[in-house]
Order: sequence, then structure tokens, then C-alpha cells
Amino acid sequence: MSAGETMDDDELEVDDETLQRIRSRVLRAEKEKLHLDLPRGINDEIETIIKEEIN
Amino acid sequence: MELHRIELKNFRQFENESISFARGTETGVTVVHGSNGSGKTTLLNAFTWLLYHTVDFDTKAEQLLTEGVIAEAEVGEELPVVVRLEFKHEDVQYIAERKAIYEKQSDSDLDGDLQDVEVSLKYKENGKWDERGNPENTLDQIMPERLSGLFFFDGEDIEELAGIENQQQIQASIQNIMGLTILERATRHLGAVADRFEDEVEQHASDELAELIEKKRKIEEEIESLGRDQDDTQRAIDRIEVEIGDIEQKLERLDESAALQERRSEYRKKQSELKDEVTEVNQRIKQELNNRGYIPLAMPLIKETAEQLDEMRQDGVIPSDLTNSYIDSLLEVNQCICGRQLDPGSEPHQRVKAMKGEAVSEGVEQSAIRVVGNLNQISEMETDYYNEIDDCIQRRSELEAEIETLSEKIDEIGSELEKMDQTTESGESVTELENKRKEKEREKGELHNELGKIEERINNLEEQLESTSDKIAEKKDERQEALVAKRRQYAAESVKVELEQAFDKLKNKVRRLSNKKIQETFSRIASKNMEARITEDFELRIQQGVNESQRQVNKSTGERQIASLAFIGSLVDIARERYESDNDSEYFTGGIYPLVMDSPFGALDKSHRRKVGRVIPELANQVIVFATDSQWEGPVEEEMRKKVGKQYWLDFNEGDGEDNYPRTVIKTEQTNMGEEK
Repeated sequence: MSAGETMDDDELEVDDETLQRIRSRVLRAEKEKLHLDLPRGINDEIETIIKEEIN
Repeated sequence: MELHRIELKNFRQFENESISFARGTETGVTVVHGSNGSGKTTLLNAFTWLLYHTVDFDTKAEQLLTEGVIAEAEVGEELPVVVRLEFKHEDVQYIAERKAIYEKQSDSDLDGDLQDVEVSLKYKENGKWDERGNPENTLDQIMPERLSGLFFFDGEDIEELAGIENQQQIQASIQNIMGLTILERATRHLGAVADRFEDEVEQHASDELAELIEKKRKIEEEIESLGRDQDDTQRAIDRIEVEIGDIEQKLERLDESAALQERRSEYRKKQSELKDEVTEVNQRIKQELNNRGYIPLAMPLIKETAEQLDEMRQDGVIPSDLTNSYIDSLLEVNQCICGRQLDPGSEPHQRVKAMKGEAVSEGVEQSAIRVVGNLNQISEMETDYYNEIDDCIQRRSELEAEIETLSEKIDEIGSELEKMDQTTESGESVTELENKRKEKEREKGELHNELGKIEERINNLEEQLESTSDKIAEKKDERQEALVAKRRQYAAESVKVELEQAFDKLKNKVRRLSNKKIQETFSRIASKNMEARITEDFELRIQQGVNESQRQVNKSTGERQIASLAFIGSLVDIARERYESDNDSEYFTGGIYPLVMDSPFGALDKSHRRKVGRVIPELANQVIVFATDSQWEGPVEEEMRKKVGKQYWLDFNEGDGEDNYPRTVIKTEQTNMGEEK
């Protein structure tokens, strides 16, 4: 990404607590759909989780 | 999951039967004895039909309804087939029920026409029963269908599990139970989501912003470079001025040129003063334009407004309050506005007279007059403004004329000096000095030109810089969106990497753990020189150890059955162990599973039956075994007897094909049952 070159690493930093919350929520969402061979909508759920945690 | 009780209504040969399962770690084995064809496999299918709506019958697969029940029913009668299971899972009590309704179509119809199938799942919370809105989903979470073959299995097919064709099922089973599937899926899905955010970043953070930032940087660099050129040129001009000063000093020191040089200096001084004055005049013009430059532009409108207001006032269109002149006219005729007589000196006369004053003078008409007056003042301001500007221009023209005259005089002095031949001590003539001075002046002029160009270029660049900065600011919001998307992408990728590491770590741990457990279990029931292990790729291998070298063997049916039992038993055991410890509970999906086995000892010799009978009850908290007497009696019974909590016998009556239809009754005591086939 060209414009990304203008973004400092500091600006992209996400704190550990947020990452931990994302990890827990993603695993919980996966667990709820584990019984499905095709866990439809899981990508949308994960996208929503991350959007809610980082806004 | 702990099984409590199963009830069957009109399910194949079971018209109205139930089994309560043994529970408890010491006596958790339930044995259901039955001859071949008595309904052992039907009982196993009752579980899978209830939980997953699937059955696997060798004969009359589509016929669920009890033959005798439909035979005795009227045409058009609706008959239910029901399997009901009471169980406990994670300390919650459940009752699952699947009900199918069949309708008898004709006198000869012994299958019935399926009308409806429904499933329900009740659970007990805080002492009250409630019902799940998504029963099949919940059941699948409690006992996943993909694992059902492991926990509800037909011993006659079990050896297939250890066959090469089932390696994928083994891999999936281990990974699913141990939490690897969650990690693998989460990793894959996070990767896909990170890609989505990357697309968003690209969408928001267009190249345009980067190009603008780059452009701004280049402009700034160019301005900086031109600033250095500007300084250099200015220093060159300063140097030349010093040189010119030196030449002029020499000219002043020579008798022949001294007077002319002195005069030239005076002219120049005067010229400089005049130029300063021109600058002042220009400044005044600028100030006038700033302060009153709007007047000429607004004047046509102001004049029009003033004229209209005045006309309106004169025409009496503007409403008037009581004006002094009107009150005077009333007093003059001694008559009030209401028509009454106003006698001089009387109270009404005094009151009307008192109305004359400031309040009255503030009437609308007066205001209009004042506004018109003010507008006329603006017109005067316009005249002043033009006079001032004209004066300034006039003065500037005079000054410029004077400057021009002085320039001519300076030039004349130069021409005169060029003709003088007196020389300095160093041998330089006045002519040479003057020519040299002129050359320096020319150089200075060129440098000034250059300086002007540099300044102009800097001014242009500064304008470009301002415009570029404005555009960058406009893009700031877009950049903010891009930044958020980039942070989200970064977060998705970070968590993905973390989970990949957790996956690799857990994969090795799981493989070691399952390998160890399967080896232990297998070694307890298989021949001494046989070994079962889970490979790097999670494949189940049976190997025969010959001294230190090992070779993979073609497994006999019995060995495959032992290997499969060892594998399943080990998984149940690992899942239970992991469930009871809280390690990695974030993604661990194990739990306590029962083992429901139909004829698990069928293909085993006596020695192996004994070993299997000894090991299996230790692997699962709850074991339900369906067996014929010949499978059970002897070594299996000897090994398992102490662990058995409940026993049932399937009393099968095959009927006579006319009025009596096949039926199985489940009894808690052994009676004289049909012979084994």
C-alpha cells in the first residue's frame, strides 16, 4: 500500500489487551460454529468483532 | 454427556420400551443382552435417529413404525414414532425428543406415509424446565455428528476405522476434540478477514495521498534550495556593492572626478529618498483601497436606496408617528387628534403639547431622514476617497518624474566621467574606474534580476505548497479511514500469527498425548510385539516390532478392531482428562462422552476379548454395550461384571406373520429368550 508507507508503526500499534479480547471473541465464535462443516457467516462475525474492538 | 434414560415408542420392533443407564465411575457399564435380530442395532440407531435424524439398517431401512402397530391401526389413522432421551451435559439436565407422525394409507400399508417430523430439546434451569429454540443445533454442539461414529458404533464395522480409508476421520476426530480444529479454522478465517481489511486500506489510502505528500516534500526541498540560492545571490550583490563603493571612493579622491562623484552621490541620495517616498505613497494608496475601496463599488446601490427612501418619505409612504410639526398643527387649530376642542391652558392642551419631545423625534419618518442623511454622508466619503487616491497618484507621478530626472543627471555624470583621464596612484584612470563601476552596476543589475526570478519562483512554490497542503488536509479524513482499516488488518494478522503458533504447539502436544494414550491402551489389549501409534500426520498405524526394526503389518480383522477400540477409547479418555483440567479451555472442545457399542467383541478371540473387556470400562465414565450371550459370557463377563451397573435383556418375539407381528420387550431380568442365530 503506497499511502501505508506514510503511516508510522506507532499509529498501527494495537495494545495487547485489545488483541487478547479479539482472540477470545474469535475463538468463542468459532467454537459456536464448530459443529458445522461450513461455518457460514463466520468471516462476517470476525470482521464485526475486530471493527467493534478497533474503531 | 451422561446418558440417563432412553424411551422408544413405536420405533421398529420396540412398541413402548425404555432403558435407564448405569452411571457412576465404579459401575458405569450398562449391558443390553440380545440375540441376533432382537434389536441391538435398532437401539443404536435410536440414538442416531434422535440426535442426527439418521439410521443405518440392513433391512427395511425406511420402515420406522412398529409393524404390529400400523397393522392394527385404521386407514387414515396417524401414528407417532418417538425416541426420547434424558441426559445431563455440563451439569444441565436435558430431555431430547424426536417425533415422526405416519399416516396409514391402506389396509395393506405396513410402512405408513410420513406426515411430519419434529425435534424438541428441554432443559432444566433454576428448577424450571424450558425449551431450546434451536434443538438440533444444540444437540450437535453437545455431541457433534462428525464424532458420532466414534461414540455410537457398530462393532461389526468398527475395524474399518483403523483402515487406510478412514485416516481422515481419525485426523478430524483428534483435531476436533483437542481444539486443533478451532485454531485451524480461526487462523484461516482471520487470514480471510485480514485480506478484507487490506482491500479496505487500498480503497481508502489511494496513491493520490502518497503522491501529494511526496509532491509537498519535493516543493519544500525546492524552496529550501532556492532559499540558499537567494542568500548566495544576495551575498554576491553585497560584495559588488562594496566593490562599487570602493570605486566610487577612488573617484571621490581624484580632483578631476571628485566634484562629479560627490554630486552623483547626492543625486543618488535624493533619488533614494524619492523612492522611499514613492513607497510611502504606494502604501497610502493600498491603505485607502483597504479602508474605503468598497465605497465606489457599493455607491450605486447606496445612492439608489437613499433616493428611494427619500421619495417614499416625501410621498408619505413611510408611516409616521406623531411628528412635532403635526402636533404644532393640532395646537394651532386648537383641536385634538380625536376631534375635541383644545383650549389653550387646559389640561388636554397641556398633554398634547407635552407629546412634543424626544420620543416623537424618534419616529420612523425621522429615522428615514437620518438614514438618507447618513447615505449622503457616504457619498461624501466617496468623493473624499477619490480625491485622496487622485492626490496620491498625482504625487507618485511627480516623484517618478523627479526620479527620472535624477537618473538622467546621474547618467550625464557617468558620461562626463568616462571622458576624464586623470589616473590614480595605481595607474587607473577615471575612465577606467567609471567603466569598471558601470560593469559592476551591470553585474549587480543581472544579480538583482536573478534574485527577482528566485523570489518569484519561491513565491510560486509557496503558493503551490499551500495548495498542496490544503489538498492533503482534505485527504486527511480518508487517511484516517485507511489508518483504522490498517490497524484492523494488523490486529487480524497479529492474532492469526499468535493462533498459528498456538496451533503448532498444541498439535505436537496433542500428537504426543494421543500417541502415548493409544500406545498404552493398545499395548494392554494387543499382542506383545504389536504397537499402535499416531504418525506426524495423525494417521493410526499398527506396527509389528521385530527386534529394533519395525514394519507395518496387514492388520487382521481382530487387530483392526482392537486398534479402533484403543483409538476410540483413548480419545474418550483424553477428552475427559482435558475437560477435567482447565488448560487451554479457550479453544478446547473436549468433554465427557459415553461409549455406546454394539457387539464390540464380535471378531475377537477369547484372549483379546478379556483384554478389551478389562480396558474399555476404564476409558469412559459410561459404557453401554450391546452383546449376544456368546460374546458376553466367559472372559468379557468375568472382566466387566464388577463394573456393570445395569443389565437388560431383549425379549424378541418374531411373530407368526399373520396376527402376531415382531416385537421386542426389554426386560430387567433374564428369561427364556430366543436362541442366538
